[in-house]
Amino acid sequence: MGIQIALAGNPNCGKTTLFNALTGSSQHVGNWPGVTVEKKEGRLRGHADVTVQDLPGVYSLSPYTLEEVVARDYLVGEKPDAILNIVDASNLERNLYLTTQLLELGVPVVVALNMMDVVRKQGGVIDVAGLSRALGCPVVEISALRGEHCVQAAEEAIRAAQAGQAAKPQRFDDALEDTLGQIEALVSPCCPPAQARWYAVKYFERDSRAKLDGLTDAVQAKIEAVIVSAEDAADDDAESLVTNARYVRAAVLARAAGRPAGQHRLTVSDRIDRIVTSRVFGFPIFAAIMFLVYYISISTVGTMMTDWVNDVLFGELIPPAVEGFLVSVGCADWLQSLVLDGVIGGVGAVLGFLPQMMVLFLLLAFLEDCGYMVRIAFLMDRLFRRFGLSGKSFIPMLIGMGCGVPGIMATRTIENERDRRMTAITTTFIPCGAKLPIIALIAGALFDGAWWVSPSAYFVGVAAIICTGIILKKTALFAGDPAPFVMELPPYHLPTVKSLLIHMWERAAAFVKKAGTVIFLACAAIWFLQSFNFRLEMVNAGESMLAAIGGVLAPVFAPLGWGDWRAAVAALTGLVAKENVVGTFGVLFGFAEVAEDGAEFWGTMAQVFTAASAYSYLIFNLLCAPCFAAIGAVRRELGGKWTLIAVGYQCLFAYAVALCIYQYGTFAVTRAFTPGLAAALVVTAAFVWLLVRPAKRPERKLQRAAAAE
Amino acid sequence: MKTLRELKPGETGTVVRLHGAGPVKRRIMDMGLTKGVSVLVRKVAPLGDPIEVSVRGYELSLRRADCEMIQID
Amino acid sequence: MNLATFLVLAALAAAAGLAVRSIRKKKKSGGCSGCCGSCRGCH
Repeated sequence: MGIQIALAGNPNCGKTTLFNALTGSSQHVGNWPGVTVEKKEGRLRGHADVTVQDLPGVYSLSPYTLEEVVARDYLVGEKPDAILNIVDASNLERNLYLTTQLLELGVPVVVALNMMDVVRKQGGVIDVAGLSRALGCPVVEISALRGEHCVQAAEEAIRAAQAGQAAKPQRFDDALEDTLGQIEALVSPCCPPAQARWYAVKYFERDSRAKLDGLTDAVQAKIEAVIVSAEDAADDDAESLVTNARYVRAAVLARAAGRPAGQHRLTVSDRIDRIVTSRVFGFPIFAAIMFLVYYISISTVGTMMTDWVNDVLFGELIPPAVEGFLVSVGCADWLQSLVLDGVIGGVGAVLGFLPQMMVLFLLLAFLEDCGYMVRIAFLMDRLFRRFGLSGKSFIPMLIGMGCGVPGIMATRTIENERDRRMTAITTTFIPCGAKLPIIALIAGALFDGAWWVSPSAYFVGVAAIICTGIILKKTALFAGDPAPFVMELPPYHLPTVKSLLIHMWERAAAFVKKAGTVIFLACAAIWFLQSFNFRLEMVNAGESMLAAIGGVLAPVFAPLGWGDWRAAVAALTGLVAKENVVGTFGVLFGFAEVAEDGAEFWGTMAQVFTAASAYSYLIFNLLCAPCFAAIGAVRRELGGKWTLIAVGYQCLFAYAVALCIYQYGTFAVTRAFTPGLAAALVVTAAFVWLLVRPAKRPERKLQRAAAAE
Repeated sequence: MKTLRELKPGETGTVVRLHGAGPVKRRIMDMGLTKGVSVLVRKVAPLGDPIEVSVRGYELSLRRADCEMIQID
Repeated sequence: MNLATFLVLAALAAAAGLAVRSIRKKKKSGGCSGCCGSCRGCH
């Protein structure tokens, strides 16, 4: 008979770390609220019949947010055999607030007191025995990060599960207890005896999601009468009465543990925040940090290694060696071409950027793990509110800096449907890891590694998000008030070198794997299409199938400065994976006569693009529709219709911006007034109008409807 | 009626009552802002919103608009 | 086609087959096609 242990606790209390320690799976630890809504399960190490269920981090068990509903539905509906409640010892009162709720569920509870090292550093001491007495359940000190006593805590939970003794609910003040007792008497015939207290409290709070079958209207009326009488007597609503009582109790419990009510201590974290989120320095610091992140990874450190990979590894070492081998064994010419120009040329071009990606991911991992990313959401909240989004929408975008797919999935935690849609549409404007090779390629090949190109990619993405937000919020479809934003700021901490390296390694491995699979196949396909015409004869690239296909597409992009079929095709292959843009370039442009020196293909590229068309190409690829995987994620979140709208908007937006960039950029050099420039001016005017026009307020619709009656 | 919105950085107040209704109010209470608790305003974000307060020993970020629901003595 | 060509082609085909299988596996388990390595959201 299997035992189910549920892990419950606040966000950021170390629950996921404990889960990993107990089950051995290596999942990431997120600093952000709302990072998991999916439930995670695992087998307890060393115990074949014990399952550990990781619940979403919650502050309470109210019926209002997705995470809370998921957690309580599990706890009440599926009834685990024991609850292991992780409590952040450096934040006792708020954590114990949740504990008082868990104690009412009629399930055995064991408390794991985590982050004791933080408490000791602050010079605090916790009376574990005293706390255990006051709670009426076992309390185990652990350090999830260091793996101390985690197994003991789990075993304590197993013992509690086997004993089957439901936890004792905390007692509130007499008046409230009296009221709850009355309601309990009314509901207990209809629910399991162990959960009578839970339901009594929920009914008292008029909880919209706790419903018992079998309660007659008469009984419900009686309950309502009890509630109203209590509210009148206390001059407060029922929900507030319970919440207050819980916190009163939590404060008592904290005192029992030897930690009196929280004083306002100024920690090192607070001092850092003073500067980092200050009115004056906050945004400039953020801009500087993002600039540095991109500059360091693409233009400096990364470049040196990439140059080596391109020039040496894929220039002097591998291609000649492989060619030598193939020639010596007498391999057919066309196959040699497939291997050298197709596969190695394409995949090699992409892999060349691995060093830069690793540096970027290392820096991003550092920002994530140390806790700075949450502060960015704090900074951006007001800015986002101007067009109706909240800082909560920024979190998927931060995740999207690694990969858009989990970023889009993270929009699930946004309750407001309109906000969720808008966030899902704009999340992919931020350059993801796969777009990095494109940025690096264009910065390196066409701008000679200019310092401003790669950071600009990030900032253009942010600007695109903001502009889209403003534009969309003015339409009737998206107008509406922003969602509430109440968010905790966990203290900064220095990430361990080990965790950073693990993150970096995992991302690098995934990148290489993707190169060896998706990109490998795509490059082989591209090679095939550009080596043969429709009669399957070997031809020059310009007469191939691909050129024919590209030739149809290319004129569309001529106003953007890159009407060359190769550029158009490369952008198209970006739909499969953004890295393919680089891979395709590697195949198409590297196919020039002198393909020995890998860097040669950069030179070939430079002949096709001007500065203006190069930047236009870059921005187009960054802003247009994301890869199929991301589109699929959008479809899972928003449904088919909205996905089409999203993709359509993104492509249109990208086209418009790229058009303007090219036309204005060219005009700056040639001073020639062309039809293209006229078109760009029209587009710009339309864009500006969309940005500044008065918003369509939903209230106006209501007023008109009311007036019509 | 004095609300949390009127407190300036560095000032402390005690919560008297919470006005309003619904999920936002519940969320604010869940985070520890209940009757009788002491609140310290740490800072205001660069654009004036949100506001960072210290309550029950930890830092919390709140919208200025939500602070209007929290009555202070 | 001579033996060398055949062998190289076979090797490539095998690699392609492995690649396809790997992509299929990923699609089944999550729907992320080996995208990123940043998978903290792909729980």
